Amino acid sequence: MAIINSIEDLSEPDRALRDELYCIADAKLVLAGWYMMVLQNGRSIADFTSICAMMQGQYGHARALYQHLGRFGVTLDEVEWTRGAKDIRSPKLLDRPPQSWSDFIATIFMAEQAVSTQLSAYRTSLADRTLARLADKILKESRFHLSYSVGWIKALRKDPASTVDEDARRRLVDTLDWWGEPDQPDAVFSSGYRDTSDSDLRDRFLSAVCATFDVPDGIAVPAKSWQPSIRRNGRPGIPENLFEKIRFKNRELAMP
Amino acid sequence: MAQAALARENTEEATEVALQTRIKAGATLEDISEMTPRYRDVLVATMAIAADLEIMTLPLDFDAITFAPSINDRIAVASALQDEMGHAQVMFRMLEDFGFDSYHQVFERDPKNFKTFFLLEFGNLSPIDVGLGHLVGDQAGYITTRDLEENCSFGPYSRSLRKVNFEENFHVKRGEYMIRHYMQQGPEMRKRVQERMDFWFPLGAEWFGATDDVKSRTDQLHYKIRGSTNDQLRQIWLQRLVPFCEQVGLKVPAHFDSERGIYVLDYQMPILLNLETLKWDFRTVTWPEKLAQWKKGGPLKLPGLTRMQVELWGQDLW
Amino acid sequence: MMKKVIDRQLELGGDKPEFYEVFARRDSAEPLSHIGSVEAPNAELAEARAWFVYDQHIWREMCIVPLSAFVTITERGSKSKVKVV
Repeated sequence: MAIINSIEDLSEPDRALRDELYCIADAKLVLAGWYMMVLQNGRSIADFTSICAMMQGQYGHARALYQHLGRFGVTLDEVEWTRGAKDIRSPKLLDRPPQSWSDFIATIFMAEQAVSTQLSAYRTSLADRTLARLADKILKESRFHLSYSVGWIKALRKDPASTVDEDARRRLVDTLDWWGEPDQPDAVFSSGYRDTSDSDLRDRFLSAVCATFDVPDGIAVPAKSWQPSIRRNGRPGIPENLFEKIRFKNRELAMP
Repeated sequence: MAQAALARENTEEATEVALQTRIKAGATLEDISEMTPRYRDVLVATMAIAADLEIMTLPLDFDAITFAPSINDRIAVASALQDEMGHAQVMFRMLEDFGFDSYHQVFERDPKNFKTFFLLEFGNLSPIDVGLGHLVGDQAGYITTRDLEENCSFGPYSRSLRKVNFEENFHVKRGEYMIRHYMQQGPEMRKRVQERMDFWFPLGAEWFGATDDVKSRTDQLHYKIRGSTNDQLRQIWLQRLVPFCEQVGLKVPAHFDSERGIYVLDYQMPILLNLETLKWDFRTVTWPEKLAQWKKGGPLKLPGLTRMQVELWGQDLW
Repeated sequence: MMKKVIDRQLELGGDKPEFYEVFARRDSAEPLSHIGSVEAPNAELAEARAWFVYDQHIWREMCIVPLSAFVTITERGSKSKVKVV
């Protein structure tokens, strides 16, 4: 596949694919930032280890996806350095900081599940075999991230006063913002890059959530201003103070 | 009564002698029931310090992760910290069998009572410190735990250190890679690295504790909990670090004494760090003065361990 | 700042922590070996923690067994049913 240097050179499906992969990679970038920021709140030594591992996992996946985006002209320089808070395309779900350990667990459950669900539709892609293999590898590695959150949810639920179900309900609404309204135009699907439509992926995500949480009937998100290029409603970008915490620093000391 | 006490003392003495003889002959202990109380105390003290040293890397590496320059660098520091936390997990798990409660030890114990070393009690200022931490500190830690793995007469502890040492060796290599790279980035960068090395080197040298002429904890050697003395371990550290520094062009206050065939420090331990300026004063002081400085600890110790014991959420995160 | 309060029943699985012993092998020629131990209140969390803590090799096979399921033979009466490694 030829390397493209300008977005204008891309066909519409390629541009849509570029946007979507950017959103997935940024979701992983910000999720990794979550693990980083919450690390010291771990509740056992094994949590410290696990959170470090999941942080690396997410950064590693993000890096692989950014590298894949290189074919659409995306550079690591842009990814790590020239972007600001408003250019980050992660889900709205990850904007608001966790309010407690239980909220943290509910959020990472939703985020891991959402991103893995979306990637699952790339595993069979004939249009981009490299991406298909990458998606498969990422999904396999993410399995333990899900066991971690499910194990914690189970432990927290043993306390009758636990807020984990409430936290999950609140975070679920924010997660659904990632898919917008059902049945809107879906260039990545219609071009064959993805084997499942966004609407069906949203349903697949909800059934996966159902295995762990009760999902209220007819849960929906008003999608007044949903843009596929950022996969969210409203203004693009993440909060400045979150960006400041997770951005990279000391550029002159980066290792080759 | 007196006779009974005497008989008990005699039995204890006999058990103690029997144990020491067994150990001298190269026996390995596998179970607590084989230990005398004195052996057990020495072993537990050694393992408890090692566990505290591992856990102290959480506050130390946290800042290093946040100020990392790239995805790759952030992954590298997080990976090193993951290893350290894995080591802490193994060590605290082992202490559980000796009646320790890990949760109490990590989350409830007063941070003042953690037995960490001075080297780990200063925050990292930039990725240069991360490289030097690996090169100087992990090197020192690796030499200590390699000795325990090779010599410790308590089999389970020795075995548990295989994973630890396998991973620590990577950290040292990472440090060498980083510092070699920085030292090739022109005079300005070399100066920055040198300034920080001036701070790190004496911290590494004192990692191994007091010099052999004043060292009191010889029970560790009696019981073959470890195999080498402080000065012997320090010598291995110097043998590895000094030639590397010379090769990359870093000056350190130590040299090879060709007459004695060993590396020697250019100053006489112990020396004090000025905690205001963070510069070393190379005038020799007394060991009680040094011990007092170690006891007081560095600026990261209490806030760092306290952070590990509290939770911050919402606006306190971002 | 809020001090962490660990609920032992909930987070450790009881008054005493619940341990799972970890077994793994790197390749088909290697015997399945006991490589360590993790503490967790349930199997899902134990699985994740075992995977993350003992990641020094890429394991071909890994499994966990609750410590409570062990029947000791040589170590009967010993304080530790099975050594950490």
